[in-house]
Amino acid sequence: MQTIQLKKFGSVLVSRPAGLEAFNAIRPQLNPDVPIQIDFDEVLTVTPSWLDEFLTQLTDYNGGKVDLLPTNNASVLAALPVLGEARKDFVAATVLRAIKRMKDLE
Amino acid sequence: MGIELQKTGHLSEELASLLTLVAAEIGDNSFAHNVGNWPDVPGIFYAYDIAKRVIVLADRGRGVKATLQQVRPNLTTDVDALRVAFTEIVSGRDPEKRGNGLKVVRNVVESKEIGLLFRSGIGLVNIPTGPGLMHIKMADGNVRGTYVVILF
Repeated sequence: MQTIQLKKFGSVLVSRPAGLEAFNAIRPQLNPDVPIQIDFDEVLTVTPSWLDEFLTQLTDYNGGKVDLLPTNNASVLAALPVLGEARKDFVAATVLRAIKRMKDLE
Repeated sequence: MGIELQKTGHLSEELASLLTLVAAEIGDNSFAHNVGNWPDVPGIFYAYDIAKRVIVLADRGRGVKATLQQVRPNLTTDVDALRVAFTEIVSGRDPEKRGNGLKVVRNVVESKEIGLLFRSGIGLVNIPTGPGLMHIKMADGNVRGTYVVILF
């Protein structure tokens, strides 16, 4: 399992270009055959645009083997339901798994 | 701004996170939907006063209607364009997979102690501070581009 700590990209993660740049920066360190988990600790805000772009690139890269670690981050919790809505792609699958896991933990 | 909000001590971590999300999504939209197409003055106006609990963003871009007409040519009014922007997952940059930012903004503002005034053209979106639903109507005057006030 590979863990990506989003705090290493900054405390406030904004915009699609920045999400794409974050993926491009970390891609050389990733093995596309190994599942990835995303850690939101110590991040203040992730915007839906940044997260959508980052997850889209990441899930396309490794075939959807991405999971989101449970978090109380308000911006992430606000974005997830919308990101999982009305689409049938790896991002939706990843997001819906995360939502279900977090609900099960409540 | 996000870090300043976090450090004030008067706001919860949750509110600081969500206010930053709202301002950032709206501000990013100004650039994302106008790059290469600024009618006159490029860029956005962005100011905030934490003591007064207000954030203001404005741009002189094409506005929401012109942006969404690229994918919804049948949109004829600013009010309809704002309704689509805040309720549907659609983007003026189709076929890119986008268009969810303002939906999240609406969900956040409607459910938290955050107020939003969003004007574009002669359309106006108002969501009251304190949990409350969105209302969209025609404004008294025209705003070229967008003009946004966030209260908290």
